[in-house]
Amino acid sequence: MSDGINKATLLGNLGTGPELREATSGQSVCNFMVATNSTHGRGEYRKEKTEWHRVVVWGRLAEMCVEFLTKGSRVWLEGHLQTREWEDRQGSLKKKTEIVVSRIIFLDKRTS
Amino acid sequence: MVNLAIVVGNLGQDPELRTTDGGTAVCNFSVATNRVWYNKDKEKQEEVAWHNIVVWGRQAENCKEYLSKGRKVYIRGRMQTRSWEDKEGVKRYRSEIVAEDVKFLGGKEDSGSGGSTGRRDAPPPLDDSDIPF
Repeated sequence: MSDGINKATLLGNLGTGPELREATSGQSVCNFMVATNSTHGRGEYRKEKTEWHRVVVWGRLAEMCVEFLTKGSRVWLEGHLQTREWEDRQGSLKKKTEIVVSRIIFLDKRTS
Repeated sequence: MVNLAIVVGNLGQDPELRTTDGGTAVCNFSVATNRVWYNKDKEKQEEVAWHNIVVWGRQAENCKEYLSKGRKVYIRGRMQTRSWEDKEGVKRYRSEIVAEDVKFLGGKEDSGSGGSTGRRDAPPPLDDSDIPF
């Protein structure tokens, strides 16, 4: 069981500014949300929907994200999906699905 | 904009097929993917990720017919997160991949470890407003 594919790709805009933290391992890690809009259906059934994606970036890439990205920035990103599970104080199971980034392209024009 | 997920992995349980009030078929199952990488010390690392898959329409019926626990499948789709309130009034979220293309890759791997975790956090069934076409 070593063969599998787990890939996620997004082209969207940041809904939050990136937040940089230091993991217990000492590595930099950064989190932000990315919004994608999609339309499907035709005519009167046409629907528009905004989807929010939780994104995690590690290491040097995380530091670059904090330097170059702000809320509203447009990015292309690739990574894999991961779901973390934990129990909250009430003992109920919580899950969070995130995209762990391996490649990111900043698409905004430099203003400076 | 782009919202694309591609997974190739094995089914954790038999697919569940339902029909919405409007008569559209919808199929749910979860797929495990195994990711292998090597850390700084060149030690092999492995991580299993579970993905909730939703398939609509004719393809949902095909999934029910041809897939079962352990089968290998290719899924291309988009990621979505639904939220609802559970009986205790707590807001819950569920992330899923809504399949746009499904390919049956055959083979059956003996996955004795069973499916994903319990149904305690089962979301409300998908209804007609969720149909993506």
